[in-house]
Amino acid sequence: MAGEVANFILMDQKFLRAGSTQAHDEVYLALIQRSKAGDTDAFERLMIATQQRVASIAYRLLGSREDSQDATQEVFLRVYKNLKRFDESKAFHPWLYRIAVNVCRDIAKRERKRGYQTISLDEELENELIEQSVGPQNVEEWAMARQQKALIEMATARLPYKERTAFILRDFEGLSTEEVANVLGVRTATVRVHVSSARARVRRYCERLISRTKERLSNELRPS
Amino acid sequence: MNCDRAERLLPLLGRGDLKPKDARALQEHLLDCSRCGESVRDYAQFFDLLHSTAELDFDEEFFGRIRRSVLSEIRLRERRPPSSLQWWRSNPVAVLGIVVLVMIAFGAGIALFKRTWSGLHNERVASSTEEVHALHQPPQVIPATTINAVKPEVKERRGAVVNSKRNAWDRLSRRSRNLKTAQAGDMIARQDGQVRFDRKPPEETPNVELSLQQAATVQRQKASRIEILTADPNIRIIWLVAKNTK
Repeated sequence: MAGEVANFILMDQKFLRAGSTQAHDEVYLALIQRSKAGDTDAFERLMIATQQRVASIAYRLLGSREDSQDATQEVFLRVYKNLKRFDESKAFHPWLYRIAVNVCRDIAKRERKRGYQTISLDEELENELIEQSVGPQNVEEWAMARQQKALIEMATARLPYKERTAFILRDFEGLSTEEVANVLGVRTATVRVHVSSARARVRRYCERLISRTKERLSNELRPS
Repeated sequence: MNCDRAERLLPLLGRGDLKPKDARALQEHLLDCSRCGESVRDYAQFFDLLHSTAELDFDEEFFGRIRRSVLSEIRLRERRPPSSLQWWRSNPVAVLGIVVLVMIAFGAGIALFKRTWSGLHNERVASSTEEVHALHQPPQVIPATTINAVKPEVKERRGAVVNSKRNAWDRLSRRSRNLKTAQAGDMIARQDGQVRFDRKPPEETPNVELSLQQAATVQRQKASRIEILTADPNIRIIWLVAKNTK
């Protein structure tokens, strides 16, 4: 037990030293400079290099494939439009993430006006949607990666928006706390609070859902 | 460190989010507390799960649609002529220069207006003490002859008109103190021919001797409007008298 804890702490220190994002490397810098000069091929290569991250953020923040596609398009259009203002002495990815978060926030606001609402984690156990997604017929494949992803996605989608943004940037995109604070325009202490709260909520959600599903399965398998 | 505090810090353990001081305190607590040690194991599994689900699967067609759409939009925008607003945004130095020039022109316009205005009113800034004293001397009195030389004829004519009217009025009113209105008008009309009644005088019957008192009575009954001719042929004084029926 003590050994596991010690290993975990060591892993924490390693994670701290490694840093979370690569700043800008020479390849990115060259692509950015050529894109600034109006080279659309270079900009397309820049898009290819960053599209996965932008689309992932958009999908996790918005929870819909169509919305994430619209958001990704809008992000790259804004990047191209504002590329001349980008300071090449600074890292590219935080700047890209800031644009992505702002675009997703605008789209989420628009969706909220249309009637879309984030579901609170407190309601999740009674939610029929979850019962259907993770039913007893899927318990055998519960450990499979696809369902794990679905579980995490559902838990993430039910977080409050600010916590969700900090959690996604920190834990899925691998930004440091300072970088997340820079992207979101908040203090690092605020980021820590949001990330801590989000991790605790998602873990609690997963545990409750798994225990509830096991309970239902055992009830169904019990001979009457 | 107690368990409540440790529980709040545990989500931050393992990812480098803890301050060194908190990390040391938590480490010491975990070595003694088995319950929080269980939570550490749960969080370790949770972080493994997060790590395994970090990558999302998007097919190439998804990204291809996005890239084609973005590039076509960029090419479309580049073909479009820049609007005036875009020009203002892309040329902040030129915009600043234009603003400065406009401000200078505005200031020059105000200065020119002030100078012109002060010139109209014979005002200017004194450059020496003597000039200040000279400027503050009392204004010279313009001789009356100069004023009379400006519009003498008009004043005289107006005075004459007024005087003739006043004289006629005075004569009329002075004489009418004891006489009736119709008598006064009659007398003035007979004196200088400038006053007459608007009605014809009553026809005198040769056989009847009318005393002055009787004629006045007749005139008083009939006359109601007296017109006075003045020296100016364009000016007439019309005197309306209430008709006396006594």
